[in-house]
Amino acid sequence: MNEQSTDGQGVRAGARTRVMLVDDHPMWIEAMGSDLTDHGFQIVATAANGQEALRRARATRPDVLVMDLQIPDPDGATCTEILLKEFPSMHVLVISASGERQDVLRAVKAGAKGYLVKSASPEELSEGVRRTAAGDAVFTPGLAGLVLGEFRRMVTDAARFNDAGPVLTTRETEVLRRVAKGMAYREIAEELFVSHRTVQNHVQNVLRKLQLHNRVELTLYAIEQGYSEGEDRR
Amino acid sequence: MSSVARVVSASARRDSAGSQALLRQVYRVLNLLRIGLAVHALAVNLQRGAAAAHPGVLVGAMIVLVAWTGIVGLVHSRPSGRTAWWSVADVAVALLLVATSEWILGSPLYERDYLSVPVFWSVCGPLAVSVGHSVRLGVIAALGVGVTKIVVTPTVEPGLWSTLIILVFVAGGVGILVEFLLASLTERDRAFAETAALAERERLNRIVHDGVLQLLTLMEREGPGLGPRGARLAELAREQEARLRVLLQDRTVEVSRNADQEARRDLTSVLDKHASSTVTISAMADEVPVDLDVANEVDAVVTEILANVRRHAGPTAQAWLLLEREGNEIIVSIRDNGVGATPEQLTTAGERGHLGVRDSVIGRVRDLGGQATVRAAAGRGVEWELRIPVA
Repeated sequence: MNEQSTDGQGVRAGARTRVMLVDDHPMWIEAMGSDLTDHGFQIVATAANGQEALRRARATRPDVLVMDLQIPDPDGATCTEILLKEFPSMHVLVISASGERQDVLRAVKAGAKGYLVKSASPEELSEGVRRTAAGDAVFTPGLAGLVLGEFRRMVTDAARFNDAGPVLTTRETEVLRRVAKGMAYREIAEELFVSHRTVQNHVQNVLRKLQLHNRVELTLYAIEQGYSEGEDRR
Repeated sequence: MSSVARVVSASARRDSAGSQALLRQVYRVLNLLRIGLAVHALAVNLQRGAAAAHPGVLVGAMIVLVAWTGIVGLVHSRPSGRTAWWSVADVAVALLLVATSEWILGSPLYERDYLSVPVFWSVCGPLAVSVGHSVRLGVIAALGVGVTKIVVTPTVEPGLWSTLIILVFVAGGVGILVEFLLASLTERDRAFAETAALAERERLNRIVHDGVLQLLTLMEREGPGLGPRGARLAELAREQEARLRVLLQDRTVEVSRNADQEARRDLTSVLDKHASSTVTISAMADEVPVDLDVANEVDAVVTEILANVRRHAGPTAQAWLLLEREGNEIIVSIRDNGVGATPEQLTTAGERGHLGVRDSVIGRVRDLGGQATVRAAAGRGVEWELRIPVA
């Protein structure tokens, strides 16, 4: 990309957000790339499949990785898991056509900062990338529904093992349900008599809790495996 | 019988790899049969040869028979040798030997048992025609050999006539069997080819569907930036995308039915069908299997609520549906950002002669053992919450 030629609309030269795009359809790379360039982002790399994505993300270390989930070999959720394990501070924004709930959840649990549907407008996309770069969570109603469901599932599972498990506070549940029902942060803040920022913090916390729990679960799993192996040896 | 006739009449392809392999085996068996019958003819004539009218000619005939057996064996071992002219010659040799039998052997010797000089070897020619060319021609050749024998020695002796019947039945029967096998092979090859074609078509379908879905999504995204006509285009693209996706995903809905229990259905897939340019569906990642009746009734209630949104919420209204599961209860929340309604409007909103939508929804959900609540205010949209117990 011709990053030297223009000073992207109000963004200081040299401080532009470096974005990498992963999608197996060239028309999408082109469409998203030109929109993001117009909004002052710098496209540092693109990839059409999982292997390319892994290789180029390691080489370029982008600020934001925009990841389509439906790519071949390995799929987007797996790439997200691998890359966030190697670079925990990388910001990943997941996009998918829709209906790929399990994959979206996997990517978000692995540490993706947010999720947008592919049909989101160019403005929504660049806003999403901007917020992802800043470390904010990007929530759609669809993602809120997924996360709510996942916490419910974890609570049910934990109850079965007579364990506390991760729980959402009443307020967090209230906020998340309203996001899932399509309410804007502003509307939620108004209805719950809190500030816009508080709503945003709640959403952020929920995501962090989910990702943290995912890591705890993985560690516990590893420890359990270690214990049982030790017992076998005795 | 009719099915056999149908299969036989279907032109059995003889040039496919499978057919060639089968024919190779058939010709090998035919060759062994020919050698065996030649040995039998030699033994019979060795035993009676001294009493023959023309012993020298008989020896000559035996040499012809053995030589011909060897030649045809070599010729038939290659597909290129199985021609019509070789078959004509094959049958001609048999005819010649049969026609001259009475003269060579002399009437007294021949009339002892009516065994011709080639004895049963004479069936090989017609049999080869029947197997290699067509059953009908094979039967005609067999009739030719048998009738020649009768014409040379016109008598009603049963031994003579039995030969005719045996010749015709062996040539015809084996020929039909081979044709039937060839037809089955052809049918099998066609089935293989069809399966392969179907798999290839499915692979292409996946590529095409993915491409179309991606393009429709791109239109949804880019359309609104192209003015009102573009926006209209984007809306159409979104509707088509949702519809195509539902069609493609429908298969998984049916597969999740549990055969040995009551039919169950994934409620998420059912509700996903309501996704459109104005309706967003949110749900958990796992499937939500419920009894088929419950799924259908919830589907009907959601359809009614969304229809009401379309009718009364205003042209720009959006709706969101959230499906949750809490313990043994499913919660379906539907919210729109339309013009809203007063409680009176909801009560009387139904079509003439019907219950208002509020009473209708609450009644239907109560029939499922659940509870429905609605919240509405002018200018703030309408929000439904349906709580339904599930097993």
